[in-house]
Amino acid sequence: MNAPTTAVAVTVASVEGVTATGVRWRMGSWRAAGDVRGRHLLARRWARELVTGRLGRDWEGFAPSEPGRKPRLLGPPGVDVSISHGDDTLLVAVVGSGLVGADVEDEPFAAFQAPSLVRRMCSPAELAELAALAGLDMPWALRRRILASAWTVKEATLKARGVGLAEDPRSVEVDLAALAAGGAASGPAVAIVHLVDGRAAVEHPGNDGAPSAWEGAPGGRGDRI
Amino acid sequence: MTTTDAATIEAWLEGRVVAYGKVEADSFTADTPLAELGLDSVYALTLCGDIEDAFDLEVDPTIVWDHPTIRSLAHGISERLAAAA
Repeated sequence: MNAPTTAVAVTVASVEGVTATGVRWRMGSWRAAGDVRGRHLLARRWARELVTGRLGRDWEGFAPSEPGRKPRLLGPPGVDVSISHGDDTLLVAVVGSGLVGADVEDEPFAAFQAPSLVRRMCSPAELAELAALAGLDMPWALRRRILASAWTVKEATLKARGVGLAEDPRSVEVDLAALAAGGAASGPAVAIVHLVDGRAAVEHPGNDGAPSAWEGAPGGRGDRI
Repeated sequence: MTTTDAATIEAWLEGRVVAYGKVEADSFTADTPLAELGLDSVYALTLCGDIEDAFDLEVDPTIVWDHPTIRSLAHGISERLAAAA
């Protein structure tokens, strides 16, 4: 049985937007919602409000979900949803057609300092690209931000495909140099990936300097995004 | 590390979880669900890399869904190490 999302009574400051390909998203700090349970309920309320208020579709609720898998809606047909949270930020994205994946990572991106993570998330080509960037005396904070941004693209892509970490994130290759050149200077790293008609549209909400909209990259496994 | 002892692996896992900085050392047990320890996908993948470094054992991050507590995960790693020995 689905949780009654109307149980969340808190008001949370948030921002909303729509991507070039029609993904509706909302993002804000979830801390006012309290604990993990409060965050869960807030995410579901935002999903319902985006589906009904922004897509203009009926709300039929969430289907039972499996651990590690993206949430699924009972309907209406074609509507897809993705939910992500960082230590502070909650991000919810919905779309009326195609598949959507969303991911957010909050500063200071400490996890991305670990060599064990970098080795498991980056392909050999990405590791070489990272080494080349490091040769330019890149500060560690910027290196962590680039890796966090790359991770959000990988994670959002795998979420959109509905496979999560059942698929190796090294199979989703990201242009690290582009992220280094156009990434935000502060704030969370965010990515929304929309898979439709065999292509992947990648956007970075809240980051005006980053590459956005149609990258022209096919959305299949092993393609560079 | 060359052990297959589940208790030793359990203690090592508790150390890793604390090192990830999401929880205090005395705030959980080996039976606390990993999801309550802040073990999100980033840290699940980091843990896979750390397991590989410490035990020379390659695991997929889905291992944390199959073994959702430190105690269960330690037994899972122990069994895989014993099978690989």
